[in-house]
Amino acid sequence: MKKILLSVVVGAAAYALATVAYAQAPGYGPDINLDGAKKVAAGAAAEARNNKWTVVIAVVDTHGELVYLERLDDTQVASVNIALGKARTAARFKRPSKALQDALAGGGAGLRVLQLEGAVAVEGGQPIMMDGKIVGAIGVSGVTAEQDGQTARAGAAVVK
Amino acid sequence: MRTRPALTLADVKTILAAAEAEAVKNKWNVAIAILDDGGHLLGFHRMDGATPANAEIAMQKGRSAAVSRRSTRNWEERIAGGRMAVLKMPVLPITGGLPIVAGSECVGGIGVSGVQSHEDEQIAQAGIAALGAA
Repeated sequence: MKKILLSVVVGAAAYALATVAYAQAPGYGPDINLDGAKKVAAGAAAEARNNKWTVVIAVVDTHGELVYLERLDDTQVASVNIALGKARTAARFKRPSKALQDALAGGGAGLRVLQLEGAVAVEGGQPIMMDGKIVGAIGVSGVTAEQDGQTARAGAAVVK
Repeated sequence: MRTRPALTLADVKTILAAAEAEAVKNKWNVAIAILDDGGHLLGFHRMDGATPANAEIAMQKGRSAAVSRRSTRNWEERIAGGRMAVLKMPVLPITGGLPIVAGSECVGGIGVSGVQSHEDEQIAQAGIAALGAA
């Protein structure tokens, strides 16, 4: 009886936590425009150049559709679609692509991420927030996942 | 072995800026895509008011022109002339995509979508013209 009561309490607490977390998840705002996308991309490009990294930078709207893209000279060709995929993941799943990477790395139930349609579970996709709402996302690919992520975050941080 | 020219990001930005200026001048909202000679994106702008469909179509026009080394107008005209087999080719046969040529080499393609197709082509042409002037 005690055990059951305990599990009910724990379960209720977990449910409450999940509910709170859900309520706090940011909503979608208006789509980022080309001007905003250029600013975000410029911030990311500056970060990449400072580190001598060759990357593709993609900016998408809330639906994950492309608004802006640039490929720095000599970036591997595959990064075009990977950057776009990371940006789409961040926009459509409303979270950094690293969250999916971490879920996958956790193993067990986290492996389900592999079955999510359109999910690129690699760091480097970051939602773009304005006034507390998601207005789009940036995706970066070309160097290591951590470096891609650093570049993407530098871009996303340009707008508020 | 031989060497070949390639578009730099600086070239791409020159083309994009000129194409966008042509669109703004005419109050047209379009998507503009620039791709390398393998049909892979180098740069892309979707102006405010252009649709997600425009984004996809611009990329397909630009890719078609880049990999076929011919304008998409050429393919559209072939179909208009009765050559229906072109519909089975891996190109989007709608005016608005142009190859970007340096000397005798195709270095990529530009595709525009958002207004009437001949106007899309006018924007693409303005972009390429800036490359020659730069």
